[in-house]
Amino acid sequence: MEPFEFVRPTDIQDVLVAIRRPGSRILAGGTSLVDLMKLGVEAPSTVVDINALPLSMISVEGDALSIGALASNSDVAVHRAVKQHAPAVGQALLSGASGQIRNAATVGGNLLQRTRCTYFRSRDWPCNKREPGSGCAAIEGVNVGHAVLGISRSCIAVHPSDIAVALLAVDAYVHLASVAGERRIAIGDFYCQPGDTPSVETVIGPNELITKVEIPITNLNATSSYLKLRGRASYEFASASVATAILRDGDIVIDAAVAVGGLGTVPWRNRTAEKLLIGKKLTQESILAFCDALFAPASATPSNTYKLALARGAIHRTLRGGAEW
Amino acid sequence: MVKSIGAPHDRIDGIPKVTGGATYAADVKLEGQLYAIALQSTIAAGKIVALESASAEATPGVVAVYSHLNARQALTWIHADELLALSAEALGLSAFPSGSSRPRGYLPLTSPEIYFAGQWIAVVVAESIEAARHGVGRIKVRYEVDAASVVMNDEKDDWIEPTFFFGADMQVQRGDAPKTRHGEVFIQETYATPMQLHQPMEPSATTAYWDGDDVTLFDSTQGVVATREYVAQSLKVPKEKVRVISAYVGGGFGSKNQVWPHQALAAHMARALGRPVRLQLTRSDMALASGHRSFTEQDVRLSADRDGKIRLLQHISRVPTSIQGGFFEPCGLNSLLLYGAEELDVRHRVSRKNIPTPTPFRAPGETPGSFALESALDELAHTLKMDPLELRRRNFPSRDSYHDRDWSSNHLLECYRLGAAAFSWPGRYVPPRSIREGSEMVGYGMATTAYPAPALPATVKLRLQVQGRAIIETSATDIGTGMYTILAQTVADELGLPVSQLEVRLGDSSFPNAPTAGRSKSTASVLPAARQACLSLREKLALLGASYSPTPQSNESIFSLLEREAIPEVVVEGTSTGMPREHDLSFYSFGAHFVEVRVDEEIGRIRVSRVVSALDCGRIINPKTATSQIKGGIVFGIGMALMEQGEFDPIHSRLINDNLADYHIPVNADIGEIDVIFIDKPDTRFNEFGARGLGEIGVPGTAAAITNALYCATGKRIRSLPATAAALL
Repeated sequence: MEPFEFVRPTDIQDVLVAIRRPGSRILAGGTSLVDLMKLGVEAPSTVVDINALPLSMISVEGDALSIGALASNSDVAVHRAVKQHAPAVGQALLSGASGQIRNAATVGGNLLQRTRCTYFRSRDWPCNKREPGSGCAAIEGVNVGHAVLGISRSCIAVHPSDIAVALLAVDAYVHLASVAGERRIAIGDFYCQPGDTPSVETVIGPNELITKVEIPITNLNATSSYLKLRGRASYEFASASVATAILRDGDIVIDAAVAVGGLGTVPWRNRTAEKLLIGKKLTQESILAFCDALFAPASATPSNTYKLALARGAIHRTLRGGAEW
Repeated sequence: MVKSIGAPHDRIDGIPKVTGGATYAADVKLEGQLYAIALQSTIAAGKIVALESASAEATPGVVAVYSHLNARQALTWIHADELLALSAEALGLSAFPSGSSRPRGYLPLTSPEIYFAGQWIAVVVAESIEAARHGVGRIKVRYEVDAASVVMNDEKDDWIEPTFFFGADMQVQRGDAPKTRHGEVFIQETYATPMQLHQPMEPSATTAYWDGDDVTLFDSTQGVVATREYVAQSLKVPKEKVRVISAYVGGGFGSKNQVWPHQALAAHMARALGRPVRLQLTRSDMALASGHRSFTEQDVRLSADRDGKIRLLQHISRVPTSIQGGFFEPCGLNSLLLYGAEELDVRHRVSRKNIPTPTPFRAPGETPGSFALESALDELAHTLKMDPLELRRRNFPSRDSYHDRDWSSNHLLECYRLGAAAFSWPGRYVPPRSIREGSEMVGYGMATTAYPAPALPATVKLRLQVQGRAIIETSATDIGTGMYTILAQTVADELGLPVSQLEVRLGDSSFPNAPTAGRSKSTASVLPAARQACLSLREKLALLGASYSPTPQSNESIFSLLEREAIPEVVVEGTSTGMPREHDLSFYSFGAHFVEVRVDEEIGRIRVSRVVSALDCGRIINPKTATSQIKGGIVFGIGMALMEQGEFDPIHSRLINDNLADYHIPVNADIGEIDVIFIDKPDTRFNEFGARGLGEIGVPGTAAAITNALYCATGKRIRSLPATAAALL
């Protein structure tokens, strides 16, 4: 680990000034940043600890659920309002990491969690995400866990977050602040596919801070659930995961949201495909048609094609009535 | 007094371990201590052409950087045959035909040659572990890269046929095999097991400090005596000058069974720098610098009569070893002994690969071997539409036909009977895909396990002090096995004392010699020595005119006897003889695993919901620690069956999942119900306790029982582990 300067402002304006320094990184729970610093993947010159900021509130504000950026994964997962208005978000958080990590990790930090691609996580390998232009070792390497959606010739790293998948299904917004002011971005517009610039992962500017996440309180979101599939029962990233929300009038679907994780370079959702479900009964055929449309752009390697089968199974299972792990 | 032996006594080291009172090698912090971390090679074959360490040396806190460029002069770090003979590299070398070009083993920092990716090429010593890591990151290396190979290729590889290893010929042919066409039903399949990484809870570390000419090592090893021999040889000092302490070991499983270079290197660096040095292996180093279980490929051919009698058993293993080392997996060991086929063809072929040197890994040989053998038996049972348990009963080996000896004791049929009853084994042929419950397919599978029962001479010292102290000392280690506790139980019974009054001290090379804790031999080696010490104590007391023999009627404690006779202290030693000499018998433990799996095929979810294992390990000294040992072995088997797999990058031949995030082992939630049953019949021809070791027998067979159950559940035969969702879908 390279030595760094450590600052801990207590006022948000001071944070917003501090993060303008070149080479600065924001420290919240540290579960990702400190790990990557130990691996030498991150080497900030200044670490700006934001834990003194009052950003850990979870509350209902009007017709939205507001989750402060510093709320811990553990606190959010069990919060009554989260369970009531966006159950998928709580379930996604509980499915991730370990109890100890969830206690430390924050919602804001989780949105910016870096990929678990082995080749990204060690400086010994070429990696366009870590070192633009150096190449991608994963494409010809071991890619059993890599993405099948949204990939490019530069990068096939999978997005690791569970909560981002759930937030995508419930149409959440990310609030950002900088010295220039505040703005709000729909989570569906927050992440960038790798294209030719895999080092650019979100639309967040270099001087911006995530302050909170906002989830609309809707009947649809209240039906949401999250199913995560992986090789062991806990403490593993998703081979495939799915966050679904579905509203029905009798047997007929009137609204649907399906986001998948573990498959894409970004959390994945296709609203056009979801329209195939609207006005129909949930049958083997209608779900199959939806899956075909959702996964039409997929491009798998022989070793990660199983992810598509798992995701299809997970979508069938959750749309027809849930499964828990 | 209630007998301690046979009682489910709590671990006497349990409280120190869970309260932080137990000091492990890397917990030691001495005045002026330095910290060392190694740099690994990024290439798998070739040569270092430049190693630039100036920037590392200039890093704040860095004290020294060692590599092949300076280790010889600065550390007297020298590659020598007599040293390598004592090292992990040498295990197995004697099985390779001499002549041609027997390799010399590898010692890091002695040459610019690279034999495998991850090889240590430099070590940075610093004032803090952070500074050492920082320094490691600043070393610049240029290589000349050669082609590397980490995958076996039947046609292209230069295959070696090893001779004798693990007490058996590695090339055995009996009867007309392999030409025979006897039998009416045939199975011929290839099975593969992956590389498995050693990742015990406690990564290896050595803290070395010098006091004048004497060096003490706080180490994590299964064998302090073997470590002392190696370190003394490496330092070129008399072994009396070296003391190795390993009072607590946070799991070894074979990774700490042999002696690895870091153990001596810490002492060399401490000598050169005149300060204590701790050399810490990282998780990545554990994958690469202290051995692993290699991948294997095994062809098994069975031919049998319609009634299931096996006529031919052919088991040909293709296994790798490293470029310079010797260890390879002797997969055929159980095939030599189980099922008594009249035609036997058990052979091993070894190929040298650019991998780190493999090493024993909890039940080496038997574990990968039994996956192939017990899978093939299951395939035969399905071909015959026969209950797989009945097939095994019909091929019960009534004697050890390989060694042409009777068993000292063999209750395998009782294991089958009791295990099946506890499991509610169907007792008939269950066709695949015939049991569905809700969204899950259910399957049952079973397998036999067997493991040898070795013993070596050991010595235990007993010291009784009149003020009420009874101290037991031996260099044996407790690697989580329960040795502290069963030693106390043994002496408690002999001297009529409560276990709580005994002080057991282990894992110090200054204590009397005991063998390395490995290959399930410690119980049978050390307990008879403890009993001998107790007998010597009584003899000595008798000579002093103070006869002592505890009886239910006698109230006098041994300490009041000492007081009455004015004896301040008695010190005695007892030594065991190892294997019994008077019997020409085969000493083995046996068992059977019964497994239920549940597979939710739509979402690729595999669960081992239930395991029942019945084992014949002679008399059980402590049912609690013994059950824990077997359960641990079964958990190892579950990991092997479903998750564990060291993976190499196909282009760079480098292990990529050298950490616990990417190398998956089971978590608690993966483990269902495990029921362990002991037959508990003493093997009195083995030792006076009738006890055989049981550290390893839980592992062999477990993976096959699971994949056999998966076949029963889904109709899909997994011949290459691990059985992941991807493999099953």
